[in-house]
Amino acid sequence: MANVKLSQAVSYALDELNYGSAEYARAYRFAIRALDELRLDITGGAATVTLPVSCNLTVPLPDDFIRETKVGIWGANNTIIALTRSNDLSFETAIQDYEYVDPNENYYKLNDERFNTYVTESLGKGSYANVGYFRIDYTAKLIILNPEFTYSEIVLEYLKREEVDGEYTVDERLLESVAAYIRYKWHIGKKGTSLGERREYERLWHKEKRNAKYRINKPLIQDMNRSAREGTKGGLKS
Amino acid sequence: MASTKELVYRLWRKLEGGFIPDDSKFTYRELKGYIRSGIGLALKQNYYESLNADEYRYGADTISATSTLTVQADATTGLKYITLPASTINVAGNRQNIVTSKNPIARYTTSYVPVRAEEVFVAKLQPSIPCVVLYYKEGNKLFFYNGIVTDTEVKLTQRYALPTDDDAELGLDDYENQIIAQAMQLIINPQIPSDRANDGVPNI
Repeated sequence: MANVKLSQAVSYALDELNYGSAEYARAYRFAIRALDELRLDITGGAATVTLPVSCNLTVPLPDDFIRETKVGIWGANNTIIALTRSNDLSFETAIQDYEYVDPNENYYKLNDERFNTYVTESLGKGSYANVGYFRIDYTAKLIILNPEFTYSEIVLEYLKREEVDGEYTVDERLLESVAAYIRYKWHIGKKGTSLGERREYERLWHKEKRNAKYRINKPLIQDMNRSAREGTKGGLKS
Repeated sequence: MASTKELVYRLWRKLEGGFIPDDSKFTYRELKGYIRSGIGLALKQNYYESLNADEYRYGADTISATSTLTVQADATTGLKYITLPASTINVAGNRQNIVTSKNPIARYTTSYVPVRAEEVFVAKLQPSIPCVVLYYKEGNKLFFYNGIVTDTEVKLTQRYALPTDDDAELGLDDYENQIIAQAMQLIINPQIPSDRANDGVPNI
């Protein structure tokens, strides 16, 4: 996978539209927006961080957080054991009354009545590994954990906002997508462009985006073979 | 290809019916004004004809004037700028003044990109465009920003610029007769004064 300068994608679009340097600045700004779009859906790299759990069982999100991809704790063999998302958790995080449990452990047991619930485990058929519950408060930028959570750290894998220092670059497999986006946005507000043309440019942009997605996230034959084998189930034969 | 001076004298000879006498009622400066207006109109006509003939937005490549200018610094703001030697025809957009380094195809040359003065405001609210120097026009100056201008001299190509040198060739062979005809029409068209009193005597 080679990265090329974003200005190359811009030059493709300008060449096609028969424009020159006077349109470069505007086209480049469209290209930056195209990169953001593609990063959110296709190429965004996930960052993994270990975050400490606060006394009120919350974890502040990193500043460059866009979207979570995995929330869990460290397991054996460098794996992440995922927590279970629960929308039943309240966003209330103020500690009403607490009891310090153990000087060696970094958590507090909450004595608030709201937290006098029993822990439900996942058992039996259809069960899953359940080591804790979480809910994300996007407004307050916090991860809320359940009161019974006992770990001092969590692992967050998330899509991060990228800070660009210097020239923007783009995966070469996305060049046509960026050019299609520039074409689409250029015509969306252009005087004299008919509704049909605008829809066509939008359709072409989505088509190029899909092509880019298939190029980048192409499944391997070995992965498909493994999925097929894992899906094989035995059944009674009459 | 004729120059402004040639067109002026061509017009003058037509008006005088031949040799230009010493006591001619016309002056060079006066006739030049008519010719320059005709040149501006011809340039604009050529520009729009080029747009119609081709989708290329910059007009005919042959009608441009190139000059090398020294980059100066504004004492109050510190912004680097150049002073435009000539004015261009009035068309929308920012394609008339193209700035490049003296060698625009060198590997490490600075790229200059024009923006409209209104775009400067919008651009400030968005991520900046890396690795280029932007410039906008204010009056008869082009101000640079968004990057460091290391060149002490830059090359300016002005498209569809009204000539500053009367002896410079215009490159408007197709329009020379039209320019002279328009000037003639303005000069020889008699002006009938109005007769407000309606007594048959014109008001002067």
